[in-house]
Amino acid sequence: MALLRHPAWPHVRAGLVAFHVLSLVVLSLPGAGTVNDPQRWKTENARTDLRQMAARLTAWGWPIDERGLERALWSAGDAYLTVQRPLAAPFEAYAGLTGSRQGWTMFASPQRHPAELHVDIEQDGRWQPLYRPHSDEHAWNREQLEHNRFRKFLGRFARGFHQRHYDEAARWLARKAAREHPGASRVRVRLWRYSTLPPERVHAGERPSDGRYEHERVFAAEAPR
Amino acid sequence: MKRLWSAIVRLWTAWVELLSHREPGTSLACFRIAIALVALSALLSMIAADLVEVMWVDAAYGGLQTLSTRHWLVSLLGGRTPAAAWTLVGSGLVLTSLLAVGLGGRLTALLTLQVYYALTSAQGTLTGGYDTLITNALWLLVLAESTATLSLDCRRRTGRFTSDRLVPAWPRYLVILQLVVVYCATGLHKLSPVWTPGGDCSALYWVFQEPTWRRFDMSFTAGPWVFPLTQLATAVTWWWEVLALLLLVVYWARYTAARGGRVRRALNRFDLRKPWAAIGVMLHLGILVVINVGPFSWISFAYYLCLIPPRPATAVHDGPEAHGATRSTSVSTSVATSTSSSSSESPPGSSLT
Repeated sequence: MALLRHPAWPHVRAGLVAFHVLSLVVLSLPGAGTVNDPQRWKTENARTDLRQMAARLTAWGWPIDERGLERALWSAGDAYLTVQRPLAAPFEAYAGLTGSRQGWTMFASPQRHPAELHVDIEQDGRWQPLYRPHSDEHAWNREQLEHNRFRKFLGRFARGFHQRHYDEAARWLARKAAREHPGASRVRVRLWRYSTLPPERVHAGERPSDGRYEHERVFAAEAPR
Repeated sequence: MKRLWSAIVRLWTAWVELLSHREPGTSLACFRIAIALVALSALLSMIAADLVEVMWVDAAYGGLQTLSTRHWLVSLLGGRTPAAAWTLVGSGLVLTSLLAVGLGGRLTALLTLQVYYALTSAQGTLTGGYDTLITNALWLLVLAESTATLSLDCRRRTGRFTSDRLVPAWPRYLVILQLVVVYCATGLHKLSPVWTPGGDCSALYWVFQEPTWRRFDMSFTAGPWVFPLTQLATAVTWWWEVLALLLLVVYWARYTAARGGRVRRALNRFDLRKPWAAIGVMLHLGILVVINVGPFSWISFAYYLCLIPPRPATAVHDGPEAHGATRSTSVSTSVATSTSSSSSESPPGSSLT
């Protein structure tokens, strides 16, 4: 502890704290995963945002269409990352070791085209729903699937579909469903995608009518057990 | 050039001076207890939902996903196996409990951090924003003397559970900075037209309808009386987050109150930290009630504890007497230390209270 009593210690401490502060601030800036992730830019949500932003800019006297705005933002993002990457590099090891990373983009672009996970089993030649989110009737494995970590994990498939993550999750779900339903011959896992309605249409009594299934995976019940 | 250099020296001296403040350890002790309880509940909720072997075990051993084994503790334990996951979870339960009761000082905080980080660095898609806030807090607890009071360490040292022993205040300042950066960064990420000015401020309406997050049917927010309230809440949230950096200006004005000046006096006329914190508390209470994001609100409230300073009269600067000083003597030593050796422009005994 002699170091802490050395007259230079307050200056050394000030330098170390300054490093921490810089690390915190620099690593809180958007990184490549947020700025230039092609998967995210392809989602319906991102397309809607781009369309609305382009319309707003056009109304403000800077005529631009969705594609033009996308190109401009993509190239601005590239330019930003050429500065952000070398700026963040010296702090990565520190943040990796201490867990003092900052990245919270909560609801940056609220989902307007959600995707719900649906799980079904086939018994006696008929498909039967096993799990539907927020359903008391089809509530198989609800304790796990509605834990906040699982919900967040599933919600990611609407924001930027990642094939390997989805396939692994679908296989795990099918294996569990098959194990718990010995009479089932097949298990089906898929995403129900729909558009959330704006308030005036909900208030008028409408319900989403454009729903469709995506990324359907069907497993023979024997195989995944 | 000479003027620039002297400005740098002045700034550096002020920075060193700011980091030399000491204060009673009550706020940091409360922060430690709250963080430990939140981390403990996060681990217990995984056990209760039977998710330990689902999310923290690799797909090769029956888990949900292929996981990273980069963390040194995971490599040491032989990968993401069920045995490794339970070893980490078991250690986490013991360590978070020790942290809550304040036994083991910084070492406990460091071990808790490494264990919690080893678990939650398994896969980016399986972590939440609250995990980052927990690991950030644990690192700040490694840096802080958080067991100076309200702890078993204190009991072993003094025979009592509480103590007026003074601790460095800068870890508490870093907690406040963390909070400001979190809000500011998230505000700057919110560039969607449904958040930003000029749009219809409908962001929260859409969030409330999302099946991933909502706890119950929120379609009533489409009602003609409720929807405008969500628009108002959206606007308040966005501006509050984007302008969070101004909280540092408020602190600066309070810290340098003795210098006077019209702007400083105007800023100090009311305690602006209170409305800022009140909006934050309402935001997190709202999240807690309608949205399921795990312990996110609780961990945020834990950070808010550091906005509550220990009694300002006892805050002092570094000095040989300050270490282990009792409350009654610390005030007098602070004045003596500050007036005799301080080169700072801040008034003696002032701190970020």
